[in-house]
Amino acid sequence: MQSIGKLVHVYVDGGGCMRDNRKVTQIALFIILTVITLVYFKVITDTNNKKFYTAELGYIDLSNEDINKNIIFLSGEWEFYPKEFKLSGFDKQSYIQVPKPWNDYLYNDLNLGHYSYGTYRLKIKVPQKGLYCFRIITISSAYKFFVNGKELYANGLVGTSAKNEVACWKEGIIPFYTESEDVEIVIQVSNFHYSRGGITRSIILGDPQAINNSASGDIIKSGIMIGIFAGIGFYLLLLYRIRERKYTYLYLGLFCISSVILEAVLNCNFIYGLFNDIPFDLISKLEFSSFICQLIALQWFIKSTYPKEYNDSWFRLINIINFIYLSLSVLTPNDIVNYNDIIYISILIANYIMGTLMLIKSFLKKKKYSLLLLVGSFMMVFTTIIDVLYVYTRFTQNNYTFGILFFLVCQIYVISEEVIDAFESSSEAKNMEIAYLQAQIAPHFFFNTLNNIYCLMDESLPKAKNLILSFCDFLRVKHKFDYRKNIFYSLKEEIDLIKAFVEIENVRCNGFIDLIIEIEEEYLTTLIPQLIIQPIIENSIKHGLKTRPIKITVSAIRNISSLTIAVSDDGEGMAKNMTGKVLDEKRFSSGVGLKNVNYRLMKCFKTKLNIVSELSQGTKVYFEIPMEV
Amino acid sequence: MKVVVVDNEINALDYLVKILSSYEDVVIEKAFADSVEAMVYLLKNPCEMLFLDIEMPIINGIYLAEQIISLYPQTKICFVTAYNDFAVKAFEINAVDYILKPFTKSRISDCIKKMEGSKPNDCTINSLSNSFKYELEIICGYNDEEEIVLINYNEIIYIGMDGRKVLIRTKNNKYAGNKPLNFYEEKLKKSSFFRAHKSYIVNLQKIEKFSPKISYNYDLYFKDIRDTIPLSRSKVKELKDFFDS
Repeated sequence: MQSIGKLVHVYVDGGGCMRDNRKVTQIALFIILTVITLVYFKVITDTNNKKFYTAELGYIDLSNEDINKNIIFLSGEWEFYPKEFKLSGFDKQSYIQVPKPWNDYLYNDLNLGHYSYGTYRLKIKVPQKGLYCFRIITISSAYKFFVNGKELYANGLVGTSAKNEVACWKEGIIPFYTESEDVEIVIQVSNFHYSRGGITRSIILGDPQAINNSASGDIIKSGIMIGIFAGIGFYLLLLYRIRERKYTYLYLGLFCISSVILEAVLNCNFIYGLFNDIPFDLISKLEFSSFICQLIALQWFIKSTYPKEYNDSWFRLINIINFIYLSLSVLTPNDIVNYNDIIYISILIANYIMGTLMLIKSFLKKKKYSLLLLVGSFMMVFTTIIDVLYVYTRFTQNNYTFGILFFLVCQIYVISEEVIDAFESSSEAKNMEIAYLQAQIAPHFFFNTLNNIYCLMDESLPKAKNLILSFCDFLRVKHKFDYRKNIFYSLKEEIDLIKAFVEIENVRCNGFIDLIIEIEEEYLTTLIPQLIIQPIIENSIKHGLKTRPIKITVSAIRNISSLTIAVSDDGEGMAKNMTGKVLDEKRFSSGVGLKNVNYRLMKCFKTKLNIVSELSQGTKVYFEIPMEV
Repeated sequence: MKVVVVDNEINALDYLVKILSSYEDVVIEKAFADSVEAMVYLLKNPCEMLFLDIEMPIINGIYLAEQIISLYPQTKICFVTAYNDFAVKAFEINAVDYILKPFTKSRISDCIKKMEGSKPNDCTINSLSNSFKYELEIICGYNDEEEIVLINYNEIIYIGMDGRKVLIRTKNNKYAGNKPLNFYEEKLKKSSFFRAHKSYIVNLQKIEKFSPKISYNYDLYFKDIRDTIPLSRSKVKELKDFFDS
């Protein structure tokens, strides 16, 4: 049940309110980032169901282990026979660390180097006979896997030179059944395709079900990441299409797409699942070119975000390096550039140092959002460092992906803020346009005044002359008015303008308007925005003046810290004139003038128009301007 | 020829009267600066020729012309306007005569000549009135004796469809309207009237309350009369917002 009061209070809605939801979005961002980080650390430090066993002299005793419950990581000293593929006659007692590349392994007093081949051997004791399963994530570049002398699995084709080796990085899930508790693992490995040879990741042993779960868990993880990157990437490219010349979106979008490819390639299961017989060389090329594309996109992104902070010559330098690497990695055979760890790690480091330096520089200059971007990229650098060092850590690989995700969430936040700002500023521009239209003289007023002058000329030349003078006074101020600026002048000037305006109107309206100014001398010097009272007077005349004379009073009352300027009339009143605040905006077409005044008051003083009106009693419009105490 | 002149700007009115009175065959019966007075007079007293300003408060010149024409179709009307881009275009299309202010004497001569020969067409004025954007504060209605009455928007409680007729409800009376409901919705002071239902527009000032019915529809109650009219479900929120603010 509703009832209506007689007295109506109207607050004209302001157009340029500050955004008050920024705090909320910041908190939301913080929560999202925290959750991502927590999940990440939970995942990488999750030792639940994971046990790391270190072999001594090629032997691990698992007889007391609950294999059904835990997944076992087999590392430590494995027997190693360099430059030999053998299955029996294991005599020589030489050992190698697993997981670790064999590059530094001393063979005949020389480093074995990355391109080589050899046989690994490990003896384990399982708790009882039964069904077990191995999981081999990758061994570069090809291997044959034997358990108790039986070949169970082969990845690629092992060989003694690059010519007769066929490389493959498929993941191996190898179930086997053992009758005895002693199990002998023999892995023949050859590497003529990659800069790090040998078993570089722990071999995993466990219950078949558990192994399958952990493997599919990894695929799901990667699938989610690919999905997120692809989603964000396409969203950004779409944004770029909509907002032409906003290259930031394009670069970040390309960064995402490169990340999608990289993630798909790094987790080989993914790409092999899609294209079963994709050549190994192609995968490698994809991996390295997407990696470098990612870095290029990153550099361009930073450059386009902070164009002034990013030194041009440095940018050129890093670009030249990146593009040379890109062209080399695409055009030359893989083993020249791509398989060279040192080149790609140094390029990575150079890119990161450059990017981070630029972000720090922008941060020091207090550029918008630079802290957030810095945190995001710090996380990316941090995870990459972990990844580069993965050989020496127990962390699972692909922390990199997490870093990228973290970075992207920060970016997306920044971009969303920008998009919102853009929307706001476009609506602001619209308000400005309204203000502009308003500032123009209503053509009707213009023509009527001219017509009045024309008609008066015959009858009374002095009257016509006076009207011309008043009209000139009025035009002078109106034409000086620039809607883009808030030009201030003294209250006195505005009052003079109003007087001229009312004089003109009085000629047209038979002298029906009685203007009373109740402002003390001392306030006449107060600075106010141009044409802030005149539209109110205009509105009063337009809506208040009907058939009887109208009295309009302009007054200024000093409060403690402000001056209240009020325009009151005894005209028709606006009754239930809800200024179109509730009923749609279009309904209140005649209130554009007041809206404009209100908008400018908001901009200049953060105050607004108040309207009190009662039918056939009149209307009072007032606003405050701050004054020094 | 009996002529009536209406222009709310006193100088323009005087000037036009002065020029018109210089013609021998023109007799200026009345000159009005007030559109309402003019309307009251013209409804009772037919004239041959009418010079009308368009932009006038309370009753727009076009509405005035439309009502007069419907009553006295023989009246010849010439609009006098200072500036209205849209109006000028509309007149050109509809071939109703119009004069742009300021004007010369020879322009008036042309106009009088042209009007003497022409036949007014109330269709053109009707279509002008419908397509033209303006606000009215007084509308015409017919009482039971089929007489035209002027009704101020303040008096109107609601306007609704009664069968195929438009009904204008005031506190003490019911009048028949001669324009479709959409016309009133568009032209009556926009801030005051609200389309509450397919067949009703209500004066927001006059609403006492609205309350839901069992059928999820609402009824509107008014302050001064006991009529209730339906409120569309889709309009309830708008109305609530209006009263809550």
